[in-house]
Amino acid sequence: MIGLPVFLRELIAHSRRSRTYVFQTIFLAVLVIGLIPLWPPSGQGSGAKIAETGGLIFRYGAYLQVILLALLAPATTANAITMEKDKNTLDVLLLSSAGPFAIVWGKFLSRLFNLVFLLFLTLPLLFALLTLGGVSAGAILVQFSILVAFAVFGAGLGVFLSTILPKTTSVLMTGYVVMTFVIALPLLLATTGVVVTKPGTHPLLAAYISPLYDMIYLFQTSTFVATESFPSRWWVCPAWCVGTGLTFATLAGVLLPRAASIERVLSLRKFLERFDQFTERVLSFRRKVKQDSDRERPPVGEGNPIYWKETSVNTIGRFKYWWRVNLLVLLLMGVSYLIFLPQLSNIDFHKVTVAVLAGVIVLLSTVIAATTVSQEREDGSLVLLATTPVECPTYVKGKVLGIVRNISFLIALPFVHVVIFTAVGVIHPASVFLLLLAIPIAAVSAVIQGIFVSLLFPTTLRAILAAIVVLILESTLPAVCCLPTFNLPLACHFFVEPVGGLGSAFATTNQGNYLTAMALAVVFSAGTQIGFVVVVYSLISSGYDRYIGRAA
Amino acid sequence: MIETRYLTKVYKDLTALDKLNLTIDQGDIYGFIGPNGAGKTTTIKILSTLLRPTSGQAFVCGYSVNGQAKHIRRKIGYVPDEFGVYEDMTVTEYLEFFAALYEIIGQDRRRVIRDVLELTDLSYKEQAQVDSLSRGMRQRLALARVLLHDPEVLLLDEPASGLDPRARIEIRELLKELRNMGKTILISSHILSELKELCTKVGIIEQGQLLFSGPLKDILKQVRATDVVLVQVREAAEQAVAVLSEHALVARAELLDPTEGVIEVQVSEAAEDTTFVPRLLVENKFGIVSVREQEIDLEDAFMQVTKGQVA
Repeated sequence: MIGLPVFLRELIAHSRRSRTYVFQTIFLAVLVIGLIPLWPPSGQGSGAKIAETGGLIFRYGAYLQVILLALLAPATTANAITMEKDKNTLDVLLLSSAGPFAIVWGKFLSRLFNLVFLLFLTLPLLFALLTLGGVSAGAILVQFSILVAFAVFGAGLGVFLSTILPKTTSVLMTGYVVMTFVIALPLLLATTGVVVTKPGTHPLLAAYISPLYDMIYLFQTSTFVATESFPSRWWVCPAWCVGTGLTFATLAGVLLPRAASIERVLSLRKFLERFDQFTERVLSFRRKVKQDSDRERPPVGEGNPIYWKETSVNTIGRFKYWWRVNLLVLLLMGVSYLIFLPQLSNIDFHKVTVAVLAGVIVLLSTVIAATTVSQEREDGSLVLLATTPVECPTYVKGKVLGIVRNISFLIALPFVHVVIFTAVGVIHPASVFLLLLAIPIAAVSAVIQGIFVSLLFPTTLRAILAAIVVLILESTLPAVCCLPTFNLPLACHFFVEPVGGLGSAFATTNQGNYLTAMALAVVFSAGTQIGFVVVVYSLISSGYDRYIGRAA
Repeated sequence: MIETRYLTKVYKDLTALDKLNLTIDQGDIYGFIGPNGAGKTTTIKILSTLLRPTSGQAFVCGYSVNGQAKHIRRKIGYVPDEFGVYEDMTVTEYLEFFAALYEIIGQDRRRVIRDVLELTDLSYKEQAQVDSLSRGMRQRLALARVLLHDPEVLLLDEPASGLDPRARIEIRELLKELRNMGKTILISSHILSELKELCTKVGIIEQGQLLFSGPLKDILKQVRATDVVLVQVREAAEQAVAVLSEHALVARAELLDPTEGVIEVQVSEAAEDTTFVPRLLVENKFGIVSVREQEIDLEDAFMQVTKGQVA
C-alpha cells in the first residue's frame, strides 16, 4: 500500500497523543449536548410524535456533524506536512526511498482514518434513534456516506494546504475559509437569486456543492426537486467531495518536492505587500503614498510598547494602510448590497448578515488572540519579555488594545450595516445601541479569552484549537440554555429582529415592551461578559509569572 | 551579587537542582559547566526569575527571586540559549522595543541604542531585518539587547552554542569587553577552552549538585597538585629518564616517545618550580631540543570532577 510506513507511523503517533482523545470527546460531547434536549421525555407523547422527534434529532445531528467536521478536519490535518517542515525532517523524508507520494498519502490516509473513526463513534448514538422511529437504517448509512466523503475532502484539503503553505496557522486559517466557502456557497448563490428556481426552494446545485445542503436534500427532497420524493441525486456531493479530496492529496504529492519554492510565492507577507502596492496604485495619489511610506513604521512611542508591537510589527499590524483596507471593505459591502438587492428589505437577510459578521468578529478575535502569546513562545521571544520589567497589566492591555485596533474595521461593519438599514426603516433603531453595547464588549471578551488560552498552551496550533473548542462550547451550551450570554451571533440575530424569537419571549414577561426586553438581554449579556473578563483577567494576573514560567 | 542557598528545583520525578549553594561576587566572570541536563539552564532561569524554585533561596543583587522578581528584572540581562526572533523587525526597531520595555525614553534611548550597536559592532546592520541576521550577529544583537538598561548582572546561557569559529571569537572578545566594564557575568558553556580564557571562577554541576565552585586555578590545582614538564633530548633518552628518576625533586619521569626522545617529568610537591629539570639534564651532558610546561586543561579537570575523581 502506498505510504504504508508513514501511515503506520502517523497512526501510532496519533494514538499516543492526548489531543486525539480530546477531539473525540469534544466531538461526541457537543453532539450529545446539542441533541439531548430534543430527546422526548419517557412515557410522554404518541408513537407518531416520538417518531417525529426521532427524525428531528437525526436531522439536527447530521447538520451538527457537518459543521463539526468542517471545524475539526482542518484542525487535525493542518500540521501534516508543516510539522515536518518545522522540525526539518521533511528533507530527510524526501531523501528516503519513500518518495513524495508515499509521504503525502501516508499522512492523508492517517488523518482520514482518524476522522472516519470519529464518525464511527457517533454510529451507536445514531442507531439508538431507530428505537424512536422516524429514521431508517438506510438514511443513517446515506448520511454516514456523505460525512465520510466530506472527511475525504477535508483531509485532502488540509494535506494539500499543509504542503503549499509554510505555517500551520496559515494552513488552518485558509482551511477554515475554504470550508466556510464550501458550506456557505449555496447560501450565497441562493440569496443572490441567480440559481433559485422558485421562492422557498433550494437549487439542486446547492446539494451538489455543499454537504450541508446535501443533507437538507436528503431530508427534504421535495424542497429541491418538487417532483421527487426520493433524493435520487444525493450521491453527487459525496462523489464530488471524494474526487476533490483525492485530487488534493495527489496534487500535494506532485508539489511536495517543490514545497519550498511554492511557499516563497505564497508568502502571506509578500501577499500583503503586493496588496498594499495594488491599493496604493488604485486608491492613492502619489503625494499621499510618499507620506505614508515615510511614516511606514512609527517609532516606539512613550506609550505601551506591547501595543506598538501588536499594531506595527505583527503581520496583521504591519498591514499598514488600514484606511485602504477599510475603504476596500466598504466597497465590497456596497457591491454585496448590489448583489443582494432583492433581499435588502427582508429582515431575515439582515438577521443572518449581522449574525455572520458578529460570528466572524468573535472567531477572528479569539483566534488572533490565541496565536499572539503562543507565537511569541514558539519563536523564543516570550522569555525575553518575561525577564523585562513589563508587568501583567501592561502586557494584557497592550495585547488586547492592539488586537482590537487591528480588527476595528471588522467591529465597525455591523454598525455601518445596521445604521444604513435603520435609516431606510428596515431595522429597528434600537439595534444600533444594542450592537454598540454588545459587539465591542464581546470582542474584548473574546480577545482576553484568546490570550488566556494562548498562555496555557505550548504551541500555536494547540492554542488555536483550544480557542475554537472553547468557542464551540460557548456557542452550543448557551444556545441549549436559550441565553445569548456568550453567543454573540445568536444575540445579534435577535438584536436586529423587531419581533419574535427571544425578543417575544422577553416581551411576554415585560408586557410586550420589546426595547426593555432587548435592553435586559444586552445588560445581562454585557454584565456576564464583563464579569467573565474580570475573572479571566484576574486568573492571568495572578498566574502571570506561573504561565510565563511554563513558557520557559 | 548572586547567591543561592539550598536551591532545589523538582520537576515531577526529576530533581533538576539539589540543594545548590552558590556564591558569585561582584565583578566575577563565573563559568558554569556541566553535562547536558545537569541543571545549568534551570539555575539560570531561576536567577532570571523565569522559574520559581521548589525550595531554597536565590538572591540577585540582594533581591530574592521569591517575591522580588520585579527588582531583579531591572538588574539583570538574560540571554537564552535560543535567540528570540520577532519577524519583520529591523535591528533598530528590535532594540527600540526592548529599550521601551525598560522605560528608556527620548534622547536617552537613541544614545543608548547607538552605543550598544557600536559596542557590539552592529552599527552597519541597524536597518537590517532581525530574521535575516546570521547566528553570530543575532547573538551579538542579543548581547546588545541586554546591555540597553546597563544591568549589573549578565546571565548568559550557552552564548557561543552553534556559532562558527569566527563568531565564537567575536563573542569572546565582546565578553572580555564586558568583563572590563565591571559586569558580573554568569555564563554557561560547553566550550571549556573559552571559559578558561574568560572566567575568574568556575562551577561544575552534575545531576543538580554543585561538585566544585571556586577560582579557576584552584580546580586546576585540584586536578594536578604538581607541575609537569615535557623535555625532548637529542640522544640517550633512557639514560636521561634514569638520571631524572633518581633526583629527589622528581616524582615521576616517563619516556613518552623513544624515537623523538620526549620525556614527561612530574616534579614533587617540594619543588618550587620546574627550572631544575633542564639544568639537571645539561649538567649531565644531555643535549636538549626543547622544554615546555604541560598546561592543565579545563576539560581534563571537568572530566575528572564529573567522574567523581576530585572533590
